[in-house]
Amino acid sequence: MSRFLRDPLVHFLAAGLLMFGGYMALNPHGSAEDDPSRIVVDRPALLEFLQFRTKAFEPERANALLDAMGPRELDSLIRDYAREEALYREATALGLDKSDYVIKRRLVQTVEFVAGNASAPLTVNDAGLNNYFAAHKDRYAEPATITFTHVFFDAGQGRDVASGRAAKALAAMNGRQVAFADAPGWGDRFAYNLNYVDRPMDAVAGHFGDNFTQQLFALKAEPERWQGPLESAYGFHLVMVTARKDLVFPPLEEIKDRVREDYMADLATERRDELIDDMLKHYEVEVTLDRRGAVKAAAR
Amino acid sequence: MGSDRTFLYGIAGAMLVSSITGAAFAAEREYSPGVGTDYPKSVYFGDLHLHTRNSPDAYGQGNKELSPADAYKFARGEEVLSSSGVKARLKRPLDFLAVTDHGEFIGAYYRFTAGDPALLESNVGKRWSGFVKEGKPEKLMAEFVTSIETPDSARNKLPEVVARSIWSEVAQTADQYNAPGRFTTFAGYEWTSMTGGNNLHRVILFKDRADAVSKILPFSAQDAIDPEKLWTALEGFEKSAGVEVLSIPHNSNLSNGIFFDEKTLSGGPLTKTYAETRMRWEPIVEVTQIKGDSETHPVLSPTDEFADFERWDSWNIMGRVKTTPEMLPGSYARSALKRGLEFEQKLGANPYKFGMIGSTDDHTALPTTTEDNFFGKFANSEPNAHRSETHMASGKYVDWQLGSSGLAAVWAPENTREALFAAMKRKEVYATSGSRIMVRFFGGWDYARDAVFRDDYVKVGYGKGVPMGGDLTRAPAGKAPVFMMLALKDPDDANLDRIQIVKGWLDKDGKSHEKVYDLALSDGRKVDPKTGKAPPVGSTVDVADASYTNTIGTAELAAVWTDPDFDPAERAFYYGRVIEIPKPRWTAYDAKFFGVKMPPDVPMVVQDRAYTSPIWYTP
Repeated sequence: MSRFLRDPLVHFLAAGLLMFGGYMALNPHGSAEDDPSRIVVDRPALLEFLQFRTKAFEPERANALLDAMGPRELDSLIRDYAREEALYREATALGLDKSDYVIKRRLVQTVEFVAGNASAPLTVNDAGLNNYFAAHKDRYAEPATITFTHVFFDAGQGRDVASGRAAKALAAMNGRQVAFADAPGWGDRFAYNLNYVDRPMDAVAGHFGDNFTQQLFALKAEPERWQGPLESAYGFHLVMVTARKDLVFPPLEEIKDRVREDYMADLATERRDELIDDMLKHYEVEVTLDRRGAVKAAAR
Repeated sequence: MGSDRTFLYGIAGAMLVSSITGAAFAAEREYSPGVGTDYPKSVYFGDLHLHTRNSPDAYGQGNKELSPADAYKFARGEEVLSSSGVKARLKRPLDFLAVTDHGEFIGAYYRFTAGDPALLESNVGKRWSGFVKEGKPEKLMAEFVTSIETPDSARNKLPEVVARSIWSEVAQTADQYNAPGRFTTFAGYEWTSMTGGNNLHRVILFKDRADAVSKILPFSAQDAIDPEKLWTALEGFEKSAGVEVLSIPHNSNLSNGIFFDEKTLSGGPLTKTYAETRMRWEPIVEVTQIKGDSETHPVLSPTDEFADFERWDSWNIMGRVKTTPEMLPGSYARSALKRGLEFEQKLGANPYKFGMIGSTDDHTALPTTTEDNFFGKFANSEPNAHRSETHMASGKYVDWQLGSSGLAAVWAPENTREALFAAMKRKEVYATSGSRIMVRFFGGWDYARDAVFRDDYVKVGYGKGVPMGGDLTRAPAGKAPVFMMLALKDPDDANLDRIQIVKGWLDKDGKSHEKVYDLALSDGRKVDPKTGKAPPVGSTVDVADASYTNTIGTAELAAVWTDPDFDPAERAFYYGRVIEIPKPRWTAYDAKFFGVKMPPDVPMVVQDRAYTSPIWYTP
């Protein structure tokens, strides 16, 4: 490439977009001209399809890729090819037949759009929404959080010194039942904050480091008791954990709008896929792929 | 006029009342403990400069699929498969991210290959299809670069329906992943202006939601390459769409001196209006990122032993024109801040009074900044055994030169678009070269010597002075400014070597100077009064094993420092710098992981660092 070009930026862009050269080299596959309801899936068809899909026009690699495919992968490749071909045939059946790739894409997208909108407007009932929410609960989970205050013993003057001071203070503070709000003054100045309210793990780790955070989240909430000492990157900490919230799955009522939106979007996709599949039923898909083992699994 | 005057009287009246009540109650306690504590309590780390498949160069270099949505997922902590098929995940999620693809043909190459009919049928699309039919895809590639350097907006105009659909998708995706309080996103793009191969790139960042942001279309370098035209366009955005927007310059190191020049791009003199307009839109600059560091240069700062860091100084960004020493002052932040003082003296306004951030500029959709998790610049420099030898974008710079940098750190009361954006505007931000080093930096006249060691040091910092990005004026008689600085290591990264203040000032003859002061050193080291330098911290790095230990250095460094050389008649700026102890560079991790031998000129050790935004003193 470099002999064409002086600009490096042009050069690297060019290297990346060589694939466009493939547009003209590869003609739309018209293997079923005789029988419009028969889609033949053969090796050349899949190779072409695969190269467009991976956006890399390297026939050798595509060959290797095709042969290495597992049965499920191959099945979905054949399915996608057949779907695109069927949609294209539907589109050309509307009388706008051109061999130009631009027109082909336009027609395919038009039919996809028509399929997506042809059905009655989507309505969502509560039962459906409940089922959908139950199936996708993880997507809406709130992370575990913790509420705590801490007393810090700076390791700057030596780790053992800080550790000893922390142990001593622990006994004294629990002995005198020092409250959450009375903690300031017992230890050293901590450069971040003293109180952390409803903080998720990542936020705590950002201020104290992973080691401290793992230990902290293993503690139980005991609002009256100082626990520790826990070691951080900076020293030792006595902590009073007043609240722990495990991973929370918010009730549907609180996030109903969000869930409904996701549900509708998924439904629309599903509906469109069904319609396209119905369309595909008008065609006979014949797989004539020279590839042992996988072919059977792929044919439906 | 009449109402203006009433308004002014109203303000004067209100100020009078508040100062009286303020005085009357000053000595009393506040009933509500929250009063007066609405200062930023947390620092948030993120990336304000990241590219995905929507950038023509990223796409052309092999990022065919990773979208803005993938980038947001990755930044908030999910595992993502890189373009070259390597699994990628951040050890700790970012607090915020802006996806900022090149505004020139933004998203269009991806759409073209995907067969977007409206694009294919347009003049641009037909022209591109023509290149493909001729079998000359390199012509298609040339379109991006040519369109940047020789703007021709009519020729390069995408169909409005395509441009709008891509841009509103960018803004809507940002909204979709914005989770106030937990993970903040911003819509944005890059204005990729170049001239003669010299970089003038800026990130354009929006504060608002998609419904407002979608009202505009990106003003790109295809429309104009002169920043003054960009600023006019940004003003138009704010007026027409009711949005708030910022422009963030970057890679001044690859501008061959034109980024912080002594004249305008069109060759005119800098004026007061130019200075004010520039600072209205560009209050912060990205000074460290994957294509090198722009704080300063050994030639500009010969006595600064930390000036030579991730240096990219051989050519401009296109590798067309060699960089020569006289170009350097216009290419680096410290010299620009000094120039700013000179111009302020002459013009009455400072064109280079900016705060500092870092960001990645990664084109992989994967913002990675730690040495042991570096995903490179383009798909070809994602983790692989040979990436130290390949060239970035087939140009002159070699991929081992890429730095695993950097982050934008923002002091804000909460992690939301509003709070982060306001902090950027007041420059309460700093840069790190990748680690999450925490830095507090305050300037005032009355901080006690032990103020930074007290529990209430933050309250005192704000109460008796200004934070990073702020201004000190009119020195009280006989006083010198006092700075309070505190740095905490990244809790899961290297210890700290030292904290420093970099001072720049303008003498009576209008000449600027700089000096670096060590404020606090680890391991009991002292500055030698004769040389003014402290001994190096040493190194625990085992290059072959790609490991180090935190047995040298320290977790925290803090100091209260009074400028010993202060002259109340001289303009000055002060910014803090934090230096980590040495640790293995990404090249050392690669050598060990892939079992390869690096060429002898490849650095294997790095001392990551942070730069705060300055505090300025104006007589």
